[in-house]
Amino acid sequence: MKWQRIPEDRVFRVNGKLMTVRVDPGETLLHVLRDGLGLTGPKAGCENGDCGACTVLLDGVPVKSCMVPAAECFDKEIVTVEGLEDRALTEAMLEESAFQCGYCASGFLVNLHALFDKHENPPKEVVDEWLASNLCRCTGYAGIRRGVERYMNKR
Amino acid sequence: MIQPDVSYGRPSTMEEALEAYRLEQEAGRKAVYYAGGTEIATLGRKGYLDAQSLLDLKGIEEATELSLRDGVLRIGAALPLNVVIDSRLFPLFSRAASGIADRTVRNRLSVGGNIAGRLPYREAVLPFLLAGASVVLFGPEGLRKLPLMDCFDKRIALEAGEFILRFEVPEAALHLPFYSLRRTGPAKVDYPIVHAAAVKAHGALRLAFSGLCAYPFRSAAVEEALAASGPKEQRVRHALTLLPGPVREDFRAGREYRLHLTVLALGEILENLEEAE
Repeated sequence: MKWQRIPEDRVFRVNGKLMTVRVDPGETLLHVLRDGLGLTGPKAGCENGDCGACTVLLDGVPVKSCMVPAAECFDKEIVTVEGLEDRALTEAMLEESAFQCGYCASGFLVNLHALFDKHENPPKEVVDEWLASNLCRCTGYAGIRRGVERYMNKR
Repeated sequence: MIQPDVSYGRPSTMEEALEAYRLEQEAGRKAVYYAGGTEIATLGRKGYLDAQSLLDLKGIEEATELSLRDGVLRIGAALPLNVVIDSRLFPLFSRAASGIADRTVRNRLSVGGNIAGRLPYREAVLPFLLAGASVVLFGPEGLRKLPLMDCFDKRIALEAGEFILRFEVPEAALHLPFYSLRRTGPAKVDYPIVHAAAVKAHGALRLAFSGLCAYPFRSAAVEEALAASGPKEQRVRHALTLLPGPVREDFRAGREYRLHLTVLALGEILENLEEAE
């Protein structure tokens, strides 16, 4: 087993592209994405796993990137909000004015993208469970809920 | 940043993990095992992470197993909670663990990490305590398989350098009638004020709690008191005098409110499980 003890250049697969970035073994995935790769879609909110603004997909599974050691992600497929190809969900959110300041938007969009990848037509309790992972400090939850419903009706 | 000047290693066998742990200790560096990383990230951010080396157990096959064979469900300790919850192989686990943190966090938070971590709730242990599960540990003494009830007193007893490999649940216990109630404050995503879980096995009720005292527990005295004859309310009141420790009191709830919620929970459990086959 090889220890990583000092910052090293590592190759990450992010949004379908191979990218080389210097990774400190004590750094979180969030800051490698933002500061190392310039992908500022994932936001630094609470940095405590509570708010979900930093949500990204790791091998298709939504995770809070502020809680993931970057050193373990070199063999994973990472997708940030910049890499989401399906615009229909974003459009539905815009049509419902779901987001106000927008700081939480990328986390909600990534998480909802994963929800609809896993469940074609999720029942309300499943949507509620997934939405509970993200906080909106503008308290725009009703708009976000309308955006989800609009998207589900359009699918 | 979780912590500056920390080292990261990902062993691929349990022997390799143990050897790496030993060598780090010899070199004067404190190593910690982890799988999900949620707790180390939180502790590190606050400057409370007392370790210089992180040993990631997710590369160890035996720690990521999820299988039902030969009458035993094996649940690797490095598996994320959601993998076990979503498998529906152990319905009580799916119910009891689905209130822990939020869904996205549960995609990382590991079964072993929840149970061996520093937070006092450790709700994932409740279904294992109720199902008569065993725990398989690996450490300097090699592999040890123990009934969980024998090595869980407030927290799981691990030797220095030892880690949890997996939990083993007898297939016969997977589908026992169960009831689980988790009460939080106004926010649904929060630590429990009281989490009471129960199964009915061989005609007897088994109960386990988190949030009620400073640690999770299953108590034979409480179970016996509830099984005694007499009016339901009297049995519940008597059972609550036999708790293994003081009732927790914090900013989430005072002692009286916790006890009140527990009385209600026990009433519901008795109502739903006493007549169950």
